[in-house]
Amino acid sequence: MSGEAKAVKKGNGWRLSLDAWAVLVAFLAALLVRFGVFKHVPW
Amino acid sequence: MSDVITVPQVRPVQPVLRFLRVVPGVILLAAIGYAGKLLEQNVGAYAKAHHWTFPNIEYVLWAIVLGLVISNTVDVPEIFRTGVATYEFWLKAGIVLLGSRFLLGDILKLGGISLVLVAVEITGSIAFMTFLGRLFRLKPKLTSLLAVGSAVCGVSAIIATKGAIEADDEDSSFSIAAILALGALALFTFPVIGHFLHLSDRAYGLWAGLAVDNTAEATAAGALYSDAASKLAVLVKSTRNAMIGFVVLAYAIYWASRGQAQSVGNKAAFLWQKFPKFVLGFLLISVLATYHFFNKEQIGALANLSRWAFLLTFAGVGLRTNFREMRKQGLRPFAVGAIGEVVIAVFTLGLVAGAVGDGSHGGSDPRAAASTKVSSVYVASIGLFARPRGFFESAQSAVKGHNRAARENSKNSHDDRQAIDVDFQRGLQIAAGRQVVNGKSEEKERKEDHWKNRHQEFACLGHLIYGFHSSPSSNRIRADRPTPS
Repeated sequence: MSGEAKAVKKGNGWRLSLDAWAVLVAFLAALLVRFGVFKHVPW
Repeated sequence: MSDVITVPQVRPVQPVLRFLRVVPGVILLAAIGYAGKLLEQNVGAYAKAHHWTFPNIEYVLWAIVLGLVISNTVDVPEIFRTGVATYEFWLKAGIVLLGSRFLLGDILKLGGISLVLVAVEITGSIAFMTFLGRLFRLKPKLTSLLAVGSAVCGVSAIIATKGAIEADDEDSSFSIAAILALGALALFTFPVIGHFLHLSDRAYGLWAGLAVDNTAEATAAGALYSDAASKLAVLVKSTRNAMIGFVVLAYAIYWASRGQAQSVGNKAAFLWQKFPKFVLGFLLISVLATYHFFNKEQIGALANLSRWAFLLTFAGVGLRTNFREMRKQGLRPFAVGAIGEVVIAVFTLGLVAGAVGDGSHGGSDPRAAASTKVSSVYVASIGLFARPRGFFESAQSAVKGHNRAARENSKNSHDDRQAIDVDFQRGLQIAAGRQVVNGKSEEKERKEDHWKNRHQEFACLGHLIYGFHSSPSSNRIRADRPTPS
């Protein structure tokens, strides 16, 4: 039996790391607080 | 039968679908975290109403315990797993937001102390773990992974190092299991030891940040002690995290020199790739807070957002810890890790005692006196950062002042910062080996003495110029004598 496999080059694209996402989300939240979208965050 | 194998084409998962996969797990994290918060509020009140003696258990512990119970009994169902794995994301976002509660000056001051401690801790830990690995005849790369995991930052460091030194999957699984199991143990033992030794928030926070391996566990161990301890633990742990690139690079170069890993081409790019970006986010938000980009209410709101993020993290720490899975990984790496962790914990406790004082709450408690003795032995034996003579009196006065100030102001972030700022200055003076008397350092008093003497000399000169009599001996007047009018 002969096998044939095509190597498909996977496109990596431009992806952000988990750290970068965490920083972005944190900054977005900080901006929302800063510009009054979230005026009060209860605890 | 066809002789061509058709490989099924894997379609990339759509972003929306990926997001939807995460949702159930995140809801589970939030539900467990919030249940922990409710339990903290209600169990204490219920026990008080029924006159029961019941310790005040913080939401952090409730959330972790609830997660542990689920993980080790019914296990986490498949549908929740992707979302539960996001706890690290929440941890990092929470740390970035926590940056708003630090002024840049605090970070620079504390960062200076913690950087020295972290450098000593990393060097000592790697050396000891390497020695221990050789003693127990572990595979060299497994030893390297365990050393990096316990010296720098747990799982992230192990994963980063695994790729750089081309270690086996089995080795990294062993090390990750050992580090996670030991992190779970540290979570419960550190606060108990801290309370037993009557460590101050600052001393405990430094210790937890230096000795607990994973960032999530270090944050939780700090939060189980106090809010102030948690902040410090996060700061010190982030300093450790920042070192990850350098340590991994050193290991990569070492293994490449032995022909067992690929050599590193662009070292700067390698360092940047391994550098934890959330540390930069933490610093950046701290810069914004320092330059009043946020007002007091907004900083309070950001601090609460950070608490919510940590709430999800703590639930995730419990859900992720599965003791059955860890047991499968074998005993030897765990034994090496456990011995190493105990030695590192004792070593770092000594470093902290040397750097910021014994940290006891003081008072007439005999256990506090005992812990002071333990710390005295430490400082006398290690003697790295402090001059033992007259050290403890000054450290205790500073620590007492700090504890009072920190408790009174713990609800107010600005005042809290000021209290901590004062405390940092005292801590720095103590760390530099200067005695602190009545809130003034010896050196400051010496300077004041010097200027008082200068002032008095000028006054005497004035007397001479304007024809008043002044004997040579009276030209130099001691500061404790009244200044001539």
